[in-house]
Amino acid sequence: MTKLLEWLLGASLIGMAWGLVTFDLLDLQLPPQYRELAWPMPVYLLVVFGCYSLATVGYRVATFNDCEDAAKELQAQIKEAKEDLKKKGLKM
Amino acid sequence: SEIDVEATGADQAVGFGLVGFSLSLFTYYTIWVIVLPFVDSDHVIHSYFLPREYSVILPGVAALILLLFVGTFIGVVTWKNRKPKKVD
Repeated sequence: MTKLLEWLLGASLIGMAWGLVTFDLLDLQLPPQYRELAWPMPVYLLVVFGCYSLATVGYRVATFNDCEDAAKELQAQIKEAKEDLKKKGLKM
Repeated sequence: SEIDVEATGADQAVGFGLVGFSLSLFTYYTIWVIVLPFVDSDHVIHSYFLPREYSVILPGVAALILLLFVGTFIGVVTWKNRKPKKVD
């Protein structure tokens, strides 16, 4: 079975479990707190995923070290490339 | 030789700001959705949270607004790059 099918199968199973609880399709008579907990679950998981993504991006921006040598080298290479292209007739 | 220097102030401020914002949002939202159903309805903590329906409506509205921004941005950029007759 491909990974896509695995993920779709897993998601469908979870989705069905959620639907059963939220819409009480099996008349399970679950305690009201658990039904209250269940119905916002899809949105909750999306929001949590969004928070995790934002935090990860933020953390990696904050801890991404500057590389001064590489920056200088890159600027020199850009200058060199510009001069070379100007000589060959490219208009900047 | 490559010497790495710590990220500049603005990068750190923005980065850690995002982390702080995400953690706060996660904490508030988790209390709202996961914890509150198990807390007695006469407890004072409920006064800090909107009715439960808003825990789904507000993210929905936020997503729509985000889509609006993205769509507008794409529209503006496409419009700015339009060329007569031929689009490169």
